[in-house]
Amino acid sequence: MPLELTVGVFDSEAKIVSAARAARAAGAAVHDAYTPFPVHGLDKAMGLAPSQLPKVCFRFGAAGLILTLGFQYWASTFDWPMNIGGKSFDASPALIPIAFELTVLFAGVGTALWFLRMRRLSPAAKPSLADFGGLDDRFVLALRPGEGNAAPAQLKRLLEEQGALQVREVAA
Amino acid sequence: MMESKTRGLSEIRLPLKEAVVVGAIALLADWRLNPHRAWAGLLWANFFFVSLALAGAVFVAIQNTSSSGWSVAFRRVPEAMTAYLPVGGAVFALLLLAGRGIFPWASMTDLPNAAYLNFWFLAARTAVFFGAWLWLIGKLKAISRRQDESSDPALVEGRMAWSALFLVVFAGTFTLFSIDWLMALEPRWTSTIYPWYAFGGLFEGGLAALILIVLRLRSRGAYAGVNDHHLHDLGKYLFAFSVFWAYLWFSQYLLIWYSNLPEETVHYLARMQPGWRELFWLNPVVNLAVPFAILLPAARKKRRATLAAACALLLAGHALDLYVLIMPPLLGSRPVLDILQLLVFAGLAAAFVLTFQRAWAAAPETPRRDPYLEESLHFEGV
Repeated sequence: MPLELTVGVFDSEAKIVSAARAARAAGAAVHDAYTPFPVHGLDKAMGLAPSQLPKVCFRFGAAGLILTLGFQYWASTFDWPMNIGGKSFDASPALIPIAFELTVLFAGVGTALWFLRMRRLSPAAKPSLADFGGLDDRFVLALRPGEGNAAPAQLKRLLEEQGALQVREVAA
Repeated sequence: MMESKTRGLSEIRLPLKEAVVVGAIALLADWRLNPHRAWAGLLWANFFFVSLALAGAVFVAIQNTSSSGWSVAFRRVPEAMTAYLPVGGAVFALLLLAGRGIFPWASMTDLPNAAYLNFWFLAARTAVFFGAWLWLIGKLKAISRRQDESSDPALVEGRMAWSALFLVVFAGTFTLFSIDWLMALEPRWTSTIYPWYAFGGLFEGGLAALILIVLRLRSRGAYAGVNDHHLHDLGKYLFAFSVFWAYLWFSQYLLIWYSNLPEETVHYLARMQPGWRELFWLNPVVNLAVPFAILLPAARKKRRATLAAACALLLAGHALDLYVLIMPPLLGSRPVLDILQLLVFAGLAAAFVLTFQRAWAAAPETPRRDPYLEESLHFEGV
């Protein structure tokens, strides 16, 4: 069964945040929001659970740190010891810059890739609701009937009251 | 609002004026017993509180230059932190007039950079630096005070332009200031990253002080508009600059360790002696490792008691950092715990709090007509 969405298009971040809040208060569910930039407070207004990305980021960073420290230590102490300026082979300060850089690299790239995976974003992904201007200068809010089982007409009225420039029903 | 503010302040019953007097007596006593230690202690304590005052100005200037809205609600706190600067300048003048014998370069006759490191040039530079800072900070504060009455956008542009000028002037002057008063304690030793490192400590300690003061004033009923999002972002700021400090601390160490040149390693050799060694290695634990573990999860940055504990630790860490920088060349091969030095430190701390309280009470707690105030009061972070 196709999903019946009621989509409202707004011209400011304040309006979309307030509309998302009002929709949830009225028993509707927010399907998703599409904005040209991250809007502070919108995740809470939509009722999203806290993001798992901070934990993912920490785990990737920790993995990068352990892997690079371990590899450098193994390479410079056991596999291919080299005398550099008379320093001991397991000299720890020399390991730090690379460990630091790769911790940051692992954390950054890993989090970005994990995000793409979570959102199932790839070149082959089909764009959804892309023709409302959410990629330009519009703030797009897509609502579902939710637990309140609100009728599309009711959702339409709600979005209009919140100052939507246009409201449309879409089957996604 | 004014009433509740003054009541909130009078509840703080620390014997501040008495502490200043005790600090002065301790300085005199230390001077009679061991003048070298007395002046070294005064330099340490005064540099610490001057760095907090300067950090207040740098914070305001960064916020203004980047047209940040979120911090406007509590901008009067960093503004008032700068009120210690005249006292700090006076203490440096006292050091120059009476205590300049502690500078190792003062008794060296074969110094290659004697044209730079001499009493008159140092006094002139220090006077110019303090003059420039006080003048520019005065401008920033005056514009901010006019925003109590007027929401003229020209004032926003004005505080932005003066802040940008302050940042440029500060970068140059603080570079030389940290060389003059810290790095030159080892006159034959140089490190090109040193002023950055000194700035890292300044801003880390200054942010810790700023957050502690905001939390303290909040618990006394002021700054009801400062919410968890402000605290969270201040906590992130603090976390970032703890890491920034450590990055520079380690960068300097790594390059000198790697090249292993005698004229460079003297700095670390002095700090690897028994006694100093323990303090030297305690430094990154207090300033990086423990605060990193405390402040990493988002929830802890929003918990006031935890944030305050991290700030207190980093403030102590900043004092320890300066101690390890200043004392080894002045006190010699072993650290000496000098109660009188600590009393002098406490005296200047009381002076810092007194100047802060006076400056803060002299203005409304927020710039009431600043166009960004509304945004700041409704600030929501991620």
